[in-house]
Amino acid sequence: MKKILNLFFNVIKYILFIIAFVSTLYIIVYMYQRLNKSLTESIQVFLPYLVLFILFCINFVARQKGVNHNLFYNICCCLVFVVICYCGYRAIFDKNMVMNEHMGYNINFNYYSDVISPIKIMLYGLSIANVCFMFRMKPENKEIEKEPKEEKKITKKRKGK
Amino acid sequence: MKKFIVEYINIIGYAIVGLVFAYSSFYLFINLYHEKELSRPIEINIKEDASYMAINDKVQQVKQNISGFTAANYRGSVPVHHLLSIQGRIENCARQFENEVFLGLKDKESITFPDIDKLRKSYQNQISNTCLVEQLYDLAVNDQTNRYPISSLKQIAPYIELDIKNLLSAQTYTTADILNNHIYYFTTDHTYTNLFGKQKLAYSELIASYNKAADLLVKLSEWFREEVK
Repeated sequence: MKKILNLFFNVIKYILFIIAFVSTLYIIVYMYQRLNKSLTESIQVFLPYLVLFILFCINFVARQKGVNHNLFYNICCCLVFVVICYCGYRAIFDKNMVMNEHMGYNINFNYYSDVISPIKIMLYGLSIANVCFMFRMKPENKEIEKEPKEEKKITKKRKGK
Repeated sequence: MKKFIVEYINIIGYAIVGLVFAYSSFYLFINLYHEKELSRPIEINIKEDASYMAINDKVQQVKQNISGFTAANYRGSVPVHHLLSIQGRIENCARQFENEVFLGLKDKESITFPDIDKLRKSYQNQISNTCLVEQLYDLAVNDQTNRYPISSLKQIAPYIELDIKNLLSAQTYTTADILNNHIYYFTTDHTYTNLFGKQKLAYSELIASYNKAADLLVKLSEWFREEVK
């Protein structure tokens, strides 16, 4: 059951990451267009996404069980990306926040600019935790530990004879 | 030793994930709650609002005052085309009070935040810009431009100008209160009362501005009726 759940959240994590990044990119592009600022100035918003993307690639390529098989970490990643997607959804589609239609972009930039800092905190937190879980004791030590047990069994049998 | 360090790093990792989990859960719930709160209707009963109903009566009174004038029946000294122009301006202005947003309010079962914002925009576009600035401001500065050589109009022009200037600047604070409803923190009764109280206040101020603009129009129509007798 745990393996199925882990696999499910592992796959959903990557899908939600893409959706969260795309929604952030969409809003930030229009935000900086309205402010007449260059997109290169928005690097500090996308840096945590880049760091997390690199770590996810390392996890995937190196098949790091410490991260990929960590159910709590995968659930937390999915929750964080759901929050980011939900904030993007509210900034674009929640018409009860009347600033949404005020500037003519149908996006509430004031609300989303308040949300950017918490998003960065959550993503950097996930990145640091990802690095921490990369450290894992190798399973080769268990095979070496088995050998003396087999030797003990052989010696017991010899004594029995 | 190595095992101890690896386990210690894993504990730090779990602690960080725990904090991120708690923070993201808090942020998700506060956003969900805020969205639910903003979708609640504001407690305003338009059908029992005497100020709202009075505006319609004033507009009908304006139309009645100006409808008595016809160019064929006029025997006064003022050029007819000036009076027709003034009549047209007052009529155009009165028509702005019959916009869809304002009239549609009484048919709504519940008033929400976007409705208050639409009322603000209709006041800005129809009443402030179209009625006061485009139609009536020329009458207000007539003593300087002398576009309409009517002595009684020159006497009341400064009062019209003062009323128009007051009406144009009346909605500055209301606009800020309406637009900032995305700001929220721990939603307590105090926050809720503050948020919805400001919207109700904004509605009251908008209706009061509509009433003052209607009063100005009634005074102008009464002057016109006296002038063309």
